[in-house]
Amino acid sequence: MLEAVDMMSYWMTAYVLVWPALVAVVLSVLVLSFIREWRAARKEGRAMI
Amino acid sequence: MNAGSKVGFGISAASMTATWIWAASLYAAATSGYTFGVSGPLHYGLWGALMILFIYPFGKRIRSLAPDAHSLAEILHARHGSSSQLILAGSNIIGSILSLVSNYIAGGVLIAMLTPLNFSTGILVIAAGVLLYTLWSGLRASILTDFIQVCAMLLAVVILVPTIFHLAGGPDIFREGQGNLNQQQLSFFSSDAFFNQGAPYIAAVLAYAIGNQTIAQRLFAVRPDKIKATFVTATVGYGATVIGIGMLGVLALYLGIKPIDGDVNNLVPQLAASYLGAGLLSLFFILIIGAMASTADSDLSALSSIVMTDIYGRNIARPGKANPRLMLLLGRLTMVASTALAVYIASNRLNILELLVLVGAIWGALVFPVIASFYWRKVSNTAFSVAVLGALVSFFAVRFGFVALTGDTALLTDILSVIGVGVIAGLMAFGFWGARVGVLTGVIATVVSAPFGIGFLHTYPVLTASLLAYAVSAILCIGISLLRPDNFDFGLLARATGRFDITTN
Repeated sequence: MLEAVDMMSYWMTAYVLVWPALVAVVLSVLVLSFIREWRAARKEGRAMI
Repeated sequence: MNAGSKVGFGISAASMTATWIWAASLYAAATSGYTFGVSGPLHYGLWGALMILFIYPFGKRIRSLAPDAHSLAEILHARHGSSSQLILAGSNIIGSILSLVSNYIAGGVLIAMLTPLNFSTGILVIAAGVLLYTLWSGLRASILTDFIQVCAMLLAVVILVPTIFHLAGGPDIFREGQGNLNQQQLSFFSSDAFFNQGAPYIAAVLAYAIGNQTIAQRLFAVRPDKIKATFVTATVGYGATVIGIGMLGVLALYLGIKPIDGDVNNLVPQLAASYLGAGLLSLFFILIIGAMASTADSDLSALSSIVMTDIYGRNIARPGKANPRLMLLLGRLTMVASTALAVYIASNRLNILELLVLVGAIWGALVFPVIASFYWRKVSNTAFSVAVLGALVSFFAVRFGFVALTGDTALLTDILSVIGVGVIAGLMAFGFWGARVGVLTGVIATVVSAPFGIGFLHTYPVLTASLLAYAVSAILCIGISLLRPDNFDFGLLARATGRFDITTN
């Protein structure tokens, strides 16, 4: 019984924390893309938008 | 208006994510977690996220038909004429104004809670700030600030959710707080959560994605080869952010926290104030203000685009004679007038939820006729207009209790509602896999849901009213189009849209 509660607690912790981890991945994709596009725009002498 | 339709992936995806995340949606996700338990945030965030993905194939189709267009309403003008265009433009305007109102209220409440300023001053400060930087450069400013805001918001979620979880007790929260949840709240497959939160939300958000000009405007701004990547990233970004904040509501439920004054909207700020120090509390403030401002500036840009293109460009100026300077002036005046109106309404603290449900229904009535108009040449202006107006009448009758859902009426609305389920499922499948799969999915969804829905769905009037809007609009649109078919040439759309830029240049 105690083991079942521990397992539930483990999975619930993962369930709560997986979302900020996913957000971190998306944030890094956005920032890296932005830097890449900004460099390309600068190199070509044009505005980003 | 569309930033030249050449915006890259990084900024586009950030802008779309930021626009889709409302300040109110962060509070609502936590409320859903607190009310419905572990599945609550999924029934809020997951459906909202998937809707971004579902709108992608339709957006791609619309963009291919009219690559230089500025707004959906503008394309509808080319497809059907003024009445259909003005119906869509009118619904966009109402929706964007109410979106502004709800976001200003959310911002005003936060400022009143965390600073010495009162609610009214808080609204004014926020509205003036957003108006000034959006006036500066329209959509360009909106998209640029969206990028900064979304980075701040996402960073805040990455830091705040684990921090609050850790400081509130970590994994022990679940061991010790299990008794605070009932069986429905403990289940990932809670029917309570699905019928009260998930199902009405699926209907409303699909409508939002079609009817809201802010998403369409970004769709027309992004580089064509980056549309898919932009939508997929925005889907994951929105879903993870909103569900992540929703987890704070689940934690509050496990912890046995009671919201201040019994108002569940206080939950998230309450948790933040209870567990965070001054530094992280400031980060939380940025999260909410960022979510509020990014949506509000998008609404202002969208409103100005509608007035410039759909009202002045297509209905007031003579063909090919639109004055670019007057157009720009009208756009800016629209932003000022919209801000003033939204501040006025927000200061009266109207019931936001009722207003948003109303807008959701207006957009729900539009979804099928709008999508059908871009795929089926037989849809006529009459079919479009009658379908939308008929759907609105049926919605109002049921939603506001003008028709009692008893006896034969209940049976009729249940039958129409299961057809509405089929229409929604069919539209989703149609976007990705074409007409045959779409029709098949719609029929299967209707047949499968009929035994459960008939005799049952009318007990959920909000859900019934939304489903009716889909069913009635689809039936009328198909019926009238078959009886009096149009024979539209889609090749005309590209030639008939987006001519203002030529005039401007």
